Amino acid sequence: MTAIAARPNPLRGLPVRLRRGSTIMWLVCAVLLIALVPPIVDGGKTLFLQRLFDCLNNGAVYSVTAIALVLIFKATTLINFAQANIAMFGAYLCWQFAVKSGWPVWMAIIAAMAIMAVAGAGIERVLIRPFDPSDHLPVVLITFGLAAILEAFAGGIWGTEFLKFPSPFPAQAKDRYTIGGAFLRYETVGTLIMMVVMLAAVFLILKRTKIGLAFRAVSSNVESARLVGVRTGRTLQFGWALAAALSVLGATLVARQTNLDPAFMAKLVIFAFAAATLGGLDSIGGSVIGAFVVALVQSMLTGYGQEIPGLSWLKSNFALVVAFVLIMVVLLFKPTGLYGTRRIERV
Amino acid sequence: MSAVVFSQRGRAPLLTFREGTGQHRIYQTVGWAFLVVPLLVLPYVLPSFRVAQLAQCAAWAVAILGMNMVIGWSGLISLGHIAFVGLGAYTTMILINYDRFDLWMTLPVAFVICFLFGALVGLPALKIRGLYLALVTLALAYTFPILLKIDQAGIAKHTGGDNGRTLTEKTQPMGWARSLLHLNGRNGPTQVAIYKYFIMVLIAAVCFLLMRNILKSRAGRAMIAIRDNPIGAAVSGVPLSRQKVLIFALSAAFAGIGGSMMAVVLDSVGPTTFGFTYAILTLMGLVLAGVGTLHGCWLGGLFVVFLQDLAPRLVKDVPFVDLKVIYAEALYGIVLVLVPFLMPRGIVAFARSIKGRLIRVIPAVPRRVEGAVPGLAPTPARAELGTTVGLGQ
Repeated sequence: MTAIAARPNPLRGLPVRLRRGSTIMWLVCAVLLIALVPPIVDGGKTLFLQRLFDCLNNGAVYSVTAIALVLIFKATTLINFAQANIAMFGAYLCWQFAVKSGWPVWMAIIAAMAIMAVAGAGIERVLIRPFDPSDHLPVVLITFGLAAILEAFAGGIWGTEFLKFPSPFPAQAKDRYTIGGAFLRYETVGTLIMMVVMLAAVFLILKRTKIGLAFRAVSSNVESARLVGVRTGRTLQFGWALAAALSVLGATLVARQTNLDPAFMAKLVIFAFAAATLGGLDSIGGSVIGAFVVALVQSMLTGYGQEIPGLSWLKSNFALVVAFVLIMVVLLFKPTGLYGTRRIERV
Repeated sequence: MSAVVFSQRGRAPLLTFREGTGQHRIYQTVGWAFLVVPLLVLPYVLPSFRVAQLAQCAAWAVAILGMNMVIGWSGLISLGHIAFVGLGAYTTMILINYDRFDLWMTLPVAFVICFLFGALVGLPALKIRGLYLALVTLALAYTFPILLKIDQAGIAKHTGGDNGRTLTEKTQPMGWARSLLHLNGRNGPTQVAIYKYFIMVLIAAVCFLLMRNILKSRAGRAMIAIRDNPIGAAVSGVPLSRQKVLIFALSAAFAGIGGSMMAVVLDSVGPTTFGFTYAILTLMGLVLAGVGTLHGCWLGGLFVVFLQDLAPRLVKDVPFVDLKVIYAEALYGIVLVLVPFLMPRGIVAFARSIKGRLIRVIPAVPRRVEGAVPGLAPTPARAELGTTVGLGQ
């Protein structure tokens, strides 16, 4: 009943995981490709490329947010329902520094990330650590309540109207490459590069530093980690801080396109949930892939839905429904996601 | 015997009753009177808008009853029951507006639709352990208002999209109800408010009774066993996966009944009543009042309605700080954060512990229990919570 498979050997961890996910991944890719043929034939290559470029940005942002969720889930099997609003609050802080105080955008982003990382560590210490992580209800209530508090405070401090957010990258109309007639904005490229850098940083931290090793030990087995002298509380605190910083970065990267309002990340986080579920809630690499698949599906569905007769009701917010259905389907057929370890316990 | 078994720390209680005696029966009757008499008297005393609010409380209480079934009694976590409440409300609205149904006839339909929908949503997440149900239901809470606005297949036309719809047929007291409830001689709105109030209280009472019986039935015991010890429950022959889906579907159905009631109380439905704020509010009402208790459900209903009234005022009256109304929403969040720290079992459990100090009921010895060890009779608190004794706790 409680089929707990042993984790693969960490030395060979990556190839094994890749192998396991690959069959399904190819299937998903094949289905996506087949689904993409009619629109390419129908709407032309340029339009298709444009839609593809559109999804890259979202994919990057979803993946950063999804990684933040995965980091906490990996270590504690908890889902931080306040993640979106921590990110939102960080984006508002960044706006405060960049627009109100006139700091350079980059400095503002880093400052906001640092502040929210400290806040994340504080939240873990004060609100989360007193509770037993295997008892889910208190932690869910606390993170859910925290989300409400942060949203209310952001609305109270900065107002509920949309605010314009400065872009950290050149974002004029002319700042773009033209590839095959489609426009690839510098912003998109910048976001992608940022994502890759962040991803590399997370991997390096997890694989090459002492605290990263401790974090992996804790996510593998809390009791054993504690036995060999890992300070589990502090390690989890580090995970929360890292997750908060990452999600703030994601929020600041996307805020220019969505504009700032107290609920802007709450809408996006469902896509991040979908991405993480698809990729595997305890797999960082998987959630990145999941993020891009979700973004691709979203971009294609809402993009082409307008033009295909009979699908005109596919408005942009319908993508949320798609994300919801995706979560359901993944949980129904492959609850571990594409690259998650088989630690899921069926009941 | 009892003196030995129940000698506990602290002072002796003020009152002690032996279960089954006349005194105990009087005590029970007085206790129920404290609940029932205000229910009957209040609508005639309060202004009509308060009566309407109380009717809303009854509707929310039934919705929270559904939530409690999942969160309280089976230990699963659902954040999106508000979507089922909405589904029930919209079902009732559409049936009344388009098919000329009566309120009473819409209830079973809403029940069945929400049951099926709940089973559909619960099916994937309930097969695996962990927070997946919370994840799925949260996504559902976000998605539901959007589903209402799809302008395909006449959905948006029927639901009214962003604005919602009003019920074309308003509930009016009939002749016999007027004389029964002593409504004659009152003005129109008051009559309607009181009439609706009594209908809602009646439906809610039936739902509470149903839930009480479910809890004492095989399914209810299974539910609590799943919460307390899933492995033990499985060993004892509870089919975990099927039972969980059944429970979730049933709880969705209860939430749907709450939604139907809501639609009739408000005479209108709109997406905001079933949006995210209310997901937070109902959860807060439930956990503050008491997770896993029947009394917590109606108390939670009261909280949902009256904290909305109270919160802006509370926030405004904070001295020295100029706080906007928007912080009222923060208050709900603060309550959610504080409850696990200060009152993890909610107000009802807190009140019970106080009551336990003052009043003690000595349970009657069970009539026939095979191999019963003297002194192992369940204490009243345990019996009501249904904690499975002896399942490896």
